[in-house]
Amino acid sequence: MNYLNKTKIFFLAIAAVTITSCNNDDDPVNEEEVITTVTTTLTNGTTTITLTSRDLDGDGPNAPVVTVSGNLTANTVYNGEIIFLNELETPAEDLTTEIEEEGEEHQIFYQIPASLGIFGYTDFDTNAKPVGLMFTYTTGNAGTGNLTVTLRHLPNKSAAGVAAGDITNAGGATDAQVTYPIVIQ
Amino acid sequence: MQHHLAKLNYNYYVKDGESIGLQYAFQFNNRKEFDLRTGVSDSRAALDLNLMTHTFNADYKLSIDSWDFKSGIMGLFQNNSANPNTGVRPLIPSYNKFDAGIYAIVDNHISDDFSVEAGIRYDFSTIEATKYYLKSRWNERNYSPEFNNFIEGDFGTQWLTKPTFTFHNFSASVGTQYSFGNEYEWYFNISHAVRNPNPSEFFSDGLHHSSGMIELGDLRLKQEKSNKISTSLQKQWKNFKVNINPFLNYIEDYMFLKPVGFETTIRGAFPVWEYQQINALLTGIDLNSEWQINEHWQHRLLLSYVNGKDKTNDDAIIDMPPLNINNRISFNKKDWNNLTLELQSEMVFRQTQFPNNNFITNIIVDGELTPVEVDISSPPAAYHLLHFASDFQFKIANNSMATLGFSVFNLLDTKCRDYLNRQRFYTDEMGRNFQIQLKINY
Repeated sequence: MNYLNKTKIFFLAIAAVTITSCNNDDDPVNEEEVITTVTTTLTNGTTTITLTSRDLDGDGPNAPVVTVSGNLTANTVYNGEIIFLNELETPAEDLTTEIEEEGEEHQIFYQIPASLGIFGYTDFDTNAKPVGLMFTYTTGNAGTGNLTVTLRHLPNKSAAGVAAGDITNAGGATDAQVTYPIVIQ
Repeated sequence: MQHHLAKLNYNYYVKDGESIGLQYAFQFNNRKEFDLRTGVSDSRAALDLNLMTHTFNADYKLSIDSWDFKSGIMGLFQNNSANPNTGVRPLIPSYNKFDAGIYAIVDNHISDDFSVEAGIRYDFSTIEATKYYLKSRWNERNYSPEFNNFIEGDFGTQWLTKPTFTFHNFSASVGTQYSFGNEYEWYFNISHAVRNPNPSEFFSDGLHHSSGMIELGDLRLKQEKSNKISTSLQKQWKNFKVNINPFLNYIEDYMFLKPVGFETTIRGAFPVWEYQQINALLTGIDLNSEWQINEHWQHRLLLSYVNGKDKTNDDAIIDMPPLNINNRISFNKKDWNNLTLELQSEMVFRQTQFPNNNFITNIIVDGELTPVEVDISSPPAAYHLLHFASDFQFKIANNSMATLGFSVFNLLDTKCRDYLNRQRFYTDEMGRNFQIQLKINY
């Protein structure tokens, strides 16, 4: 008997195969573009209040550690600045400059109860739309509440209310969102 | 996404009723997922996984008189490597997996109407992963001291770990088939099967960018053991066939994803879903029928219902598919280039049995953080979709036939959300979709 009759070989498919070289498993992922720390400073004359939210484990389970250096004074205009750091790298990587350079792609929103005052933008991108790295904060009457700061990537800066600081129609992706407790006296 | 497949099949017929089959397959997948990056023209993927799989099967078949015997071995080696240069922690870690299995099935045709089949199987599986755990996650999961032996290195805020697991599993099944009366057929089957936790169930740890949720695996997961009884009754008339298939499945350590709360990160708060285990009882029924109305018209019905009970907490199980009923009516005419037209009605009911996993979190309302209840549990409403499909065949050369198909999914562009799709929290299912297909056989 002919073995070829008994034996059937099926070649279903042979495709080109590439095997990439193995990565070195012993290197931890160098987490980039992670914002760990958001620091807001509010200055009036010689008084500076620093608000910091720091989350060193990124998406990990630990909640951010929030510190506020002091109380604010009622009905006062503060000049504000905000910086974004990645403190997982040494030295810490400052992401603020990137946000500034790509101003048209970013906007920072400040949300606070109306009774605690209003925010105004003082820096603008190439299209004359606000960015929000610099701002003024005019405090309201004495009271307590929370200030929520949100950094949006690729928001729709032309949507209704967005240029005035209303996040409702902004869209985009949240790169950072922190909440500071505020005391005005 | 890149996918490469190579397959080799070899069958050897020893003699009538006796044969050996060998199969080897190699698969390579490269999966890259991209995310928006801040910074100058950075085109690196946010997730970059290379998955390589070798599988080998050998089967032996023997038929003597009324006995059929089948036995075989299988082996699998899989390597997943997660590219660390993405700058983003990988969703699934690098791992090596090795599986080996051996099985035997005996089938005895006791008479023309009655046969019994029994099978057993043993599986060995080992997996070794390489994964960096944030120390905060390691502590939150309470992995210390139980899994401290997996720790290989200390990298500041992270542990380098090599979790290794080995499983030995036995599965078995017994079934009978009985034909009686006027074209009745009855099947009955009891089986015990074991499933190992997969890498994402063990190691998931972090934010899923597509669904905006944090998914957490658990190193403590045990094998899932299913004990299933199913039976099926089939009756054939001249132009009508019906099949009814009820089943009962008691699953020990059933693995599932459960929403457990919120975690606050610098990017805001995200819902956390965690792999958990319970004892589950699934009871269900499948019903289908085929009716050849006349030479051209045909009707098919498909109904499936399953009820899931969490026996550990005496509650419903999350993510059970709701009752759905499919009706298809089709028209075929051989004379018209084998033209087929089909209208399908897909009725999906609302799942009424679900656990309440809602939780409270703070969101900003009018500038103020306000606690709200997040309704993560309520299933979406019932929906009904109509689909249309058609195709016809034509000759393109002497021995070549081509099939041209045109179909419309969701004909009426009905808005709906699917209970089993986690994207339902954000968006509707796909609307009307047109598809044109050309198939050439040569």
